[in-house]
Amino acid sequence: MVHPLPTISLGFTAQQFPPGVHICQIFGDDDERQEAVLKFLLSGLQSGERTSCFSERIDEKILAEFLGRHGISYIEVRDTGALTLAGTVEIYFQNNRFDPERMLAFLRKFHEDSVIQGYPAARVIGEMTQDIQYMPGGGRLLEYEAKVSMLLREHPVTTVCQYDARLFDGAMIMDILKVHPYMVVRGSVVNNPFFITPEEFLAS
Amino acid sequence: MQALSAPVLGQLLIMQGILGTLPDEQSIFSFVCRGLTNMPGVAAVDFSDQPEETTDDSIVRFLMVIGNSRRLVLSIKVYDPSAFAPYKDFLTNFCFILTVILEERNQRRLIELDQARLEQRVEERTKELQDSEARLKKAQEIAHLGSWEFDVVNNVLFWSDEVFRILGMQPQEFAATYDAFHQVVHPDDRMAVDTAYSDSLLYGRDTYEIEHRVVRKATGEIRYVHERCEHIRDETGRIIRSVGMIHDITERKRAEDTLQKLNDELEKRVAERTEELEESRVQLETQNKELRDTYRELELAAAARIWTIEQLREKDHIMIQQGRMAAMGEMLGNIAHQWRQPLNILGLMVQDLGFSRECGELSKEFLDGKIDKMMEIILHLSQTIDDFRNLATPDKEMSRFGVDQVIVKTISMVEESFRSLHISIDISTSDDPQINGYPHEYAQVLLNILMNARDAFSERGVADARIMVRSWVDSGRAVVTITDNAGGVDAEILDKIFEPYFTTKEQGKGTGVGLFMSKNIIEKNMGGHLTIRNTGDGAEFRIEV
Repeated sequence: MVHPLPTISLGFTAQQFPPGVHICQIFGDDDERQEAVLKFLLSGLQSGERTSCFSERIDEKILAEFLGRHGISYIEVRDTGALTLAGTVEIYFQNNRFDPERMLAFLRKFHEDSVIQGYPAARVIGEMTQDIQYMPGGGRLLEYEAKVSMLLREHPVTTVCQYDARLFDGAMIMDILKVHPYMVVRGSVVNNPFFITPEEFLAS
Repeated sequence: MQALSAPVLGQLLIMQGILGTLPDEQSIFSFVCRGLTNMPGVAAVDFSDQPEETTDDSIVRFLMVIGNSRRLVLSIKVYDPSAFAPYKDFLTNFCFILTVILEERNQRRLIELDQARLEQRVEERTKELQDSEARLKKAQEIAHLGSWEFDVVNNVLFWSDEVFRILGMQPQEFAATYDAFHQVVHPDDRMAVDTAYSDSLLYGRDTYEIEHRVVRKATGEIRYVHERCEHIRDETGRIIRSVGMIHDITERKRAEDTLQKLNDELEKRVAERTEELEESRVQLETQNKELRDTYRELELAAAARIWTIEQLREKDHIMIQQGRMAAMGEMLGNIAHQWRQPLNILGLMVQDLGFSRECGELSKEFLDGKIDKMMEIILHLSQTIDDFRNLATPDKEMSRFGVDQVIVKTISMVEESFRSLHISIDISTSDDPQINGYPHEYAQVLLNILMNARDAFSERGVADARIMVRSWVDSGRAVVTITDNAGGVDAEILDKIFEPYFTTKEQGKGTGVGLFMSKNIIEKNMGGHLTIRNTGDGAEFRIEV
């Protein structure tokens, strides 16, 4: 029998967190983004978690090499389903629209499947693209993020949302911060002082 | 004043942390405005480069100086000053950090602009260099000018395409080496090529030049090249690179050789021509001297000839004078003969007057008769003088006259003289020929011929001297012949008888101009012919006009 992990490592920080934290990473360069992705995936795989990455910029070759250096076979974890890679558009923008409910259901099922499949925990790191700003349903992004925080209370999928500060307006970045309880600042995960509880945010 | 809130300070810190990731001012301003609006007591936040002057105490301003001159103001409208007051100093620090970040963004933007310009410039320069390189390659190909570069430090040699071509190889067919170059240098030139390079190193020269031959491997063709090399040194003076060019000057060399041959040939021709001209000059000088001598001789001969002509003129003058004198003598003689008989008659009549008076026969009738007779004789004498004078006076104009009348008149003038010499003159005329001409000159011709016959008779002593004068018309022309029996003219001189100054008469009796003038009068003045022929016992002159 698999017992849920009491705490997990995010990989890019030495801090330990309970599974199901909702973290926002605002990045300004690609190296910062890639380093967080690689380390997050590695730590998840190392701890036996079901791990997924949704990004248009994931480089399988680099990832395989990175995992290989740490004794993990990319092919093996991919084939066993421990590691899932998918594009942002493929996951978030099916039918060319952003549907928060579908995404929330997806996360819920992802967690449920992980539990069924015996993973002690599940984690997802995903990069939101700027297309969301022009996509049908894109205006519900902040609502979606707030509901993700609520979902994770019951289905604790450790989630890191990556936003490229170069592709979003500053005011939008500030609003995004407000719906994430944690955020990455200079490599450290901190409680987000701008965070507004989902209930309060959705009520406003 | 209210107490500080840790989350608010945390927000400021988080904002400071995120500011660095935002790409531009616009993004930063909207982020800050949205973030600061969350602060206690804050109603609104705004950035402005040129804020309006205001006395509104509810607006707190933070001045930020970006770069050298840009003044940016962060204006915060505060609705609860006591709630806001604790964070004012923190906001000052926040604005300082913001200023640094904006300055950094500004610098980054300028750098990016510079970099973009630089990249564009690099791109343009790269394109220019590529074009230039292409042009250089083409120019090298056209000019048969190749370039090479030797990296002394790394022992790497580079040849341009044209170097390969000049050396008879395909461009870049192999990595260039000095050995490959050395192999194609003409064997007789290799030492000179090596020495030129090594000497430049040995004696610290920065450049050297050399002309030598190369032998193309594939064809064996010999080409002439001009090489120039320049050494490049590092700061210590050590040669680190040698660059050079190799110029195919074969065509120029050949042209120079051809030119040299042409010059040699030309100089040879000039020398030969100079020699020929010198010979010609000597010949000309010799000829010139001969011509000068000849000219001098001709001058002397001309002077002598002029002198001779003058002598002849003088002689002519004398002869003409003599001729005139002779003619005058002839005329006086003829006049004398013409007058002798009438004068004798006049004398007898004068004597008869004296005798008749003594005899008492001198009546008025007798005297009138004698006077009439004497006046007739005197008029005849006067007429005789007129006739001779007319004969001696040239005709001024041509006129038509009867030839027979001229014959009769002329003979009448000399018949007494001829009679005294026992020369008879017979006249036979027919057809009464008339001609256009000069009657006095015609008479002079007749007179000259008659005088010539008279002189022949006298010289030869002919006993029965006769002259026959005939006239008639033949084919519309008046023909007159004067025939004598004086023995004729010697056949050897017959064709010379009309030449000037030719005479057979003894010295002092003939001038040799009579018959010459007669021929001129008949043939040149009157368009006729005057000829002579020998008959059986004499000569016959024929005048045909």
